[in-house]
Amino acid sequence: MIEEINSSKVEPPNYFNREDKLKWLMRTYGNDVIRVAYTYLKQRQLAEDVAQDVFIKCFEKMDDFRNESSYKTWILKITVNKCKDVLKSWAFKNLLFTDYFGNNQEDRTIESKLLKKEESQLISQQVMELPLKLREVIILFYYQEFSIEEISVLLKVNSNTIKTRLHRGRLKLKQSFEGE
Amino acid sequence: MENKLINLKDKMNETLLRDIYFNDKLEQSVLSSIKNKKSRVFPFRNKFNSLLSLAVTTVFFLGIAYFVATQLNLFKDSQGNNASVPKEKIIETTNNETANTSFEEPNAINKDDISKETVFSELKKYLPQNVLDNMPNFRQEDLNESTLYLWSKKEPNSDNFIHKIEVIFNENGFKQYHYKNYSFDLKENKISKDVANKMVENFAKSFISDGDQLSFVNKPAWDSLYEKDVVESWVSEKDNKEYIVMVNLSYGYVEFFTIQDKSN
Repeated sequence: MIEEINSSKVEPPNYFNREDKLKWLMRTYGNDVIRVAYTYLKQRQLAEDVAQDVFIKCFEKMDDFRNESSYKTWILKITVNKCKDVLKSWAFKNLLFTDYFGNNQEDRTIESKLLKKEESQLISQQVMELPLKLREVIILFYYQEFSIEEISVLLKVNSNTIKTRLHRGRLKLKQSFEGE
Repeated sequence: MENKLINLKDKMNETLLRDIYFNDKLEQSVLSSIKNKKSRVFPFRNKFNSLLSLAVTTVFFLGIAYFVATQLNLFKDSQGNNASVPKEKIIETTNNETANTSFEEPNAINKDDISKETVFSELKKYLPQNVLDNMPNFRQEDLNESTLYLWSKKEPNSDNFIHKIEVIFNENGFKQYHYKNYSFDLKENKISKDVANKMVENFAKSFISDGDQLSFVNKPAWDSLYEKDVVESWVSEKDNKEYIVMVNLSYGYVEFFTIQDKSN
């Protein structure tokens, strides 16, 4: 596993060439990218494919990055767009759903048997079972610790809508937590 | 509930996401994919800014030199030769920026007779020839009442793709097409939006049932591929379906096509 570099160090050194910058991005944000992708797609293989595509795109677009946002926002915006396109794709819905359903059922059974009482496991699973629109804001706000404004820019959605979705997400989580 | 969500990152990383991380293999795979690109396209791009600065500086100094020379009447004898560089030449150069593209007539592929030969032959009208000359591998996968045709080329002794064409269809016809280039070893063939629009119409006639009845509008779609003035998308809606065709304007080919329910 590649060691995660502290995300507060937001800029690669100026003397880095393009390839060094790419390596820096992969080491700094690689885990964020693949894990956010996984929270959208719920499949490891697809999340890995998306992560690779994201960094290839970053390399292509590196010269166009103008520091209007942080590297983290830029890279996760690419990730979110890529994941949404995969989710929309006919292939995902029709060819891959069966795979996911099978694996997920198995994972859920094993995990729920072994770790049902563990709060962290439970809350993680409940977040993953939220509808996509609520799940993404919960992940970006609580997991990635973005502000409402940053999420608004990243998802191209009004900040009041983000607040509403966060509220609905928390409410839904509370209901499912109480139901356990 | 708010308390339970505090430290969500740690909670998820310790449980559900504990085995999900960006490992060395993925990093190497990305670096390998960009290797070819680096050797061909970007050396020029890296030098472009310096070349531009040099050109601007040179023009600036030549301008000053010309002005000074004019003031000193040094060009007096050569004034009669002012037309030595014809205007037409300059205009011609500008007009050449967009290559002329002529199209072969599309042949509609019957949905009951989608063979790899007919698909490949039809794709030739929408992809660069050097791509189609280099697709040594073909694979067919039958999955869940659908079929995937995959043409590809990989790096020597590696699982990394250089490029691939994916075509998915079922008994109702084509559902999705995607040409992915990981090597970027393409000949630039800039086309205008008008030419691309014609390409989209022809592509629809080839691959979509009643494609000749679709009316396409050029507007942004499919965020992960769309790039203004580089990869443009054309969208058409009919019978609660949305048809998206994307064209790479820099290299002049159809990159992506999908049909999706309009509710999406």
